[in-house]
Amino acid sequence: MTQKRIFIQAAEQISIQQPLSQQWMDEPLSYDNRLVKAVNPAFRDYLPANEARRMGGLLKRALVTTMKVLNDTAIDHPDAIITGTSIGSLDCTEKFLDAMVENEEEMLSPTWFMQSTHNTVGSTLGIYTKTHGYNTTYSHGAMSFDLAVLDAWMQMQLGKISTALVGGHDEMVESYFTLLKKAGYVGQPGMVPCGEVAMSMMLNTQPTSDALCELSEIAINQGDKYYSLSKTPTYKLQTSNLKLQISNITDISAVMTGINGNPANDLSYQTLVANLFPDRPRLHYKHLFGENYTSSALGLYAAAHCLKQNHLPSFLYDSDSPCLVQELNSILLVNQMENQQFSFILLKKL
Amino acid sequence: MEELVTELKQEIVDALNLEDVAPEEIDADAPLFGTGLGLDSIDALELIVLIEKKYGIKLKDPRKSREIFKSINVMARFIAENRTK
Amino acid sequence: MEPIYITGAGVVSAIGVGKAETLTSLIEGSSGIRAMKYLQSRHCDLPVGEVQLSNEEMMEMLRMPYDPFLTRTALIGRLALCEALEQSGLSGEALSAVPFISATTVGGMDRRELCYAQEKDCDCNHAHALIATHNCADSTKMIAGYFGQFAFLSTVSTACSSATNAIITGANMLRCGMADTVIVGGAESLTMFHLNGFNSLMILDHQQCRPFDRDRAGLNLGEGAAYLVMETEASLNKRDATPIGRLSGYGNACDAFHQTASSPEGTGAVLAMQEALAVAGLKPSDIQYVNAHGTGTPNNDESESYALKTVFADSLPPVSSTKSFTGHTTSASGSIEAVFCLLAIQHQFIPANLNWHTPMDNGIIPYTTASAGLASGNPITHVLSNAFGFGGNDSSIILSGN
Repeated sequence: MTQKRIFIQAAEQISIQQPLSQQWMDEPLSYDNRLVKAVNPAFRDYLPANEARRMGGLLKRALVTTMKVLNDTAIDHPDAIITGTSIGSLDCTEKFLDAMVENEEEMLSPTWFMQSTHNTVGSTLGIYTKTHGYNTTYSHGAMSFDLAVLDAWMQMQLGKISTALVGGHDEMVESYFTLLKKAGYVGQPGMVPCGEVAMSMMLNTQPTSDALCELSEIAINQGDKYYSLSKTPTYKLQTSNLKLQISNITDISAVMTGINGNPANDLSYQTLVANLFPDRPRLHYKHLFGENYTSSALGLYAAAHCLKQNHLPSFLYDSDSPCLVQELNSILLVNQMENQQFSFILLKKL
Repeated sequence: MEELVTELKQEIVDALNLEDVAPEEIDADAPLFGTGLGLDSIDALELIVLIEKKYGIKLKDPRKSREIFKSINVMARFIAENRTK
Repeated sequence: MEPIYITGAGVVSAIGVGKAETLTSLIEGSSGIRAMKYLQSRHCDLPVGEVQLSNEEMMEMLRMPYDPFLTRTALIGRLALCEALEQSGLSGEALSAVPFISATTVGGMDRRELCYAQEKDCDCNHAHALIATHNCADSTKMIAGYFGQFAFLSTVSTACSSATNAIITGANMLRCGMADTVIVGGAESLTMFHLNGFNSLMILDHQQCRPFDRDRAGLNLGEGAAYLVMETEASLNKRDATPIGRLSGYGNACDAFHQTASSPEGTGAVLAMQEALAVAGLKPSDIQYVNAHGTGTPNNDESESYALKTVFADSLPPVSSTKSFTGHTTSASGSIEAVFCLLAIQHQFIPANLNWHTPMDNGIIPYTTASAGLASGNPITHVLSNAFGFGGNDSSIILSGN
């Protein structure tokens, strides 16, 4: 099967940075290690009140980023809508749980339950845009978004679809943040903020000149003993049946990882990068966009826009970076989940 | 009854999160579903929860809800006749 | 489409642990929908399809020490995966080349909801456990981890079509050359959370469900798990494995109508079924049996009837809903019912649609007694299975004999 080329036509975000814009590249908002809620746009400007009244923040952000992407690309009905969300409408889940406990399983709101199933985001996007194509949701912790991208990738390679709206969406509430903090995952000294994620992008096999970049490679694998680097002029990252082929190590202009100030998390990235890409400039993004399960979506969004603008803000560099980027041609995004599962996504400049 | 109607208008706006609707502007005789306020099946279920929570009326058959929630006035009459709270 | 062979299947539900018990129940027409026994809910008058084992009993069967943090979803999932792996002959090191794609929506909610009231006062270790059990990914890890290291793990969550979509993702991986063997399916236990959720939508029947019956009043919830081992022809030959059937077609479409109701015309359902047929290269008249989604809700059965008539027109084969046996096993239903379809092909019978008495207006007339073979005498070769999730995530697969 000849590999088809896949492009990121557009990507939009609502996060803890200024929404629906690339303002973060010039005027990033900075935070400490606390829970930071998303900076929301005026939803009224995008969604009629009657339609938005049932939607919590997660759904509204997913819808608005989607609407902007559809508008950017003039694609009203993508062939597929594929969503990654780890905890879905956590707010509604907890409200339903609270009420269930307090009212002893009586007088419960169906709206909260309806919104609590993880596929509510993806299906809402289908309903709102009247798109009948393939629609699915991945809910696998920090890999949720990456698995969504992989699905779109596979179907494009198979020629089943040409366009796909792919998104990563997660929110956070105080009570769950407290649990995560107690367990040491967020909120510790030296860590990035805990944020909220809404990122929608359009993948396309037939891009226009407005496209942001090429999505050149993706591979997801489990366990560090399953990849090895052979140090010959042609480097291969081989993971049993999942292969990420990079014809020359200098093809990667920079490696962008999800370091977040949590020593266990960061060690996983640092070990991998030191073994596989020791000489490559290192970038990070969670200090800007925060930590949440689908934060990798925002890393990809940031990398795509940097490639489009041929510009890497200096604050993206990791303090461990051995050097600066000379010529920005590509960015390799690395995401890991509990030092067990790794994803690699290579973006290339057009 | 007038007090109940006024109270109901506010309760419905709150329960269904009808942000752009001022309670006093709701026509108490206008249909709640389809036209009028344009509510749907999920709203009907939320109203069933509302009348149990607030007025102690437990409605077991959702199909009856369309008659009972025909308009605010019809709803108010039903509540006045059946409330236990 | 290049053939995708199924070389292992495992199933656990209210009608049995394993294929043998399940087959007996299906052929005998013995429903597993009973009074609530394991779930501690105030709504214990609601009939449910519970796996007839306590958590402790499942831990004993799996020969593991008692662990209060092990979720019921994971236990049921492990039992099913055990059977699938055993049949396929895969184990240990061989799993490291195999992706595992599981489906769930509630994950470990059964643990979290019990502790929820005390969450605010919990300590660090407890917090770890609560976060771990709630998350869908952790549910998949808990199931997989028992068996070894897989190539990677993934979790699909599209409510009632989750497991079918896991099967579809696995199929795409094989066709893409990303793997030559995949394990796919889903697991879901009953929880107070979704029992109460469905109850708030007022779509639960207080009697045994009556799919496609005029007087149907809703669904009964169930729990269970099922997994399939799927592999390419090359892998089958290399391993000299014995296939038990094939996945010959699949389709996924969005109804794009409403969060909790299907469109009257069943648009998403029609598109999903038509795509499955197109992928399989089959005509509607090539299908010998349809395992319907058939939840027993007024809305689904009406919408699905319309969709079936649209797709099949004059060549509608026997249709039944096996949710009358197991209840609606939500995220696991797609793979559980896929295994029922494989059993139907292997043993040449049509599972009954129980509790049916009166035709619906414009509804399909289901098969009501388990019949050994078709009236025509033709073999059962191709079976279509539907799974429609909240929000209109509609999926269909076609299973075929070897």
